[in-house]
Amino acid sequence: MTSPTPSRVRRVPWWVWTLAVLATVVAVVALLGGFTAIPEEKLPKVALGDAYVGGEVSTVVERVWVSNQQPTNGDFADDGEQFLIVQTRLENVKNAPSSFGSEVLRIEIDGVVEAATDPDVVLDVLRGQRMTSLGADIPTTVDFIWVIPADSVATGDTVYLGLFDQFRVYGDPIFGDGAFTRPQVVALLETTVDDVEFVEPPEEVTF
Amino acid sequence: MSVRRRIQAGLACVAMLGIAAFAIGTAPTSEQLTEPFYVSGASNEPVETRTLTVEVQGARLTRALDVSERQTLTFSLDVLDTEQTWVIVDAVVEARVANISLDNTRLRIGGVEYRATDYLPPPALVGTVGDPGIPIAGSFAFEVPTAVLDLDVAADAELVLRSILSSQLDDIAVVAVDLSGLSVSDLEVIGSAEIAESRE
Repeated sequence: MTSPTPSRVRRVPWWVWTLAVLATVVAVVALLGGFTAIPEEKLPKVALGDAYVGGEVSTVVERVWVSNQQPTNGDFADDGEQFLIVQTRLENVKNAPSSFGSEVLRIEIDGVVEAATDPDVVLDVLRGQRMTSLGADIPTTVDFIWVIPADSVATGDTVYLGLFDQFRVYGDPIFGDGAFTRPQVVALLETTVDDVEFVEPPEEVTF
Repeated sequence: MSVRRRIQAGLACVAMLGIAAFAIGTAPTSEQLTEPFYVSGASNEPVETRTLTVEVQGARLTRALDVSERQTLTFSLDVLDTEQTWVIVDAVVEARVANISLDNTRLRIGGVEYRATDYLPPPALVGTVGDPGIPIAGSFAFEVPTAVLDLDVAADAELVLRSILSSQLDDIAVVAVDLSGLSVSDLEVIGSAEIAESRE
């Protein structure tokens, strides 16, 4: 009786196969550009006054300016502060009310406002109230307002605006077809500060 | 296994895959499985759902709402303007089980839904409606594109009352409201909602 001859070639361990398959998948994804960040230059550019029609809201940025007076209620900024105001015309293009209006844009000014900073208030200009929802097919003038340090921005300074959209998620295990992605930048707008106005506040009355 | 048996097994697998694909393709979505039950009715008659009874008493159109009764620290407007048209729907609502919130009330015209404004003087129907058995009379106001009110679909508008934000597998009252042929006033006064006379 003879003992079995050991194979000359050692069997490849299972984990080597697993790693090889994983490496192949990663290599294919990388080759197809799956790990490449989308460069900002690839995002569409929108001009001041032009409409960007997203999946939920159409956005027209009309003007960017700075003032020490809030445009709807006339309140004055505290000492050392001023208001950066982006005036827009928004229209809900869906067939139901939208609460996405306050998310449709953010601004970036080097050293003054970071790109991800939420506005301090988003106002429905006609009523001077906070905008809570946009009715379907009703164009609305909306001011996005940030409080910034006084004298931090001058007329003609360049500002960058990102326009945002959100996308429906289908078949979410919790929300079904009613879920949305987080807002994402879908277009860019570069413009300048139109004006820096200073309104003399009324003298304080003391008793 | 013979070649014939292998072919039979293969065909059986393909057939089962086809049946599975058909079952998945035609299965109801989670939205459809939990769809609410719509309870429809007409204006000037009570429409009763699990949580409320509503009777729409009429509709008015106006260019501006006088909401001067509403004065709070954060709200000091006397008149709510619009570049469009306000649709006011007057109604009596009575909670049946517990107090209810009608924040999500909509006016549906031609498949498009408009949300009731929450700028009205409190207590308002858009808000929390009182305890069971106490009918509350008040108004809903909707900002609607003026052009829509000239369309034929304005005659088939519907007031949609969701008593809670999520109405899955629950009742939703849908009341027909005819908005055709109504004149548009310059200003309508909207007061606070009040306890109405009981229907019985």
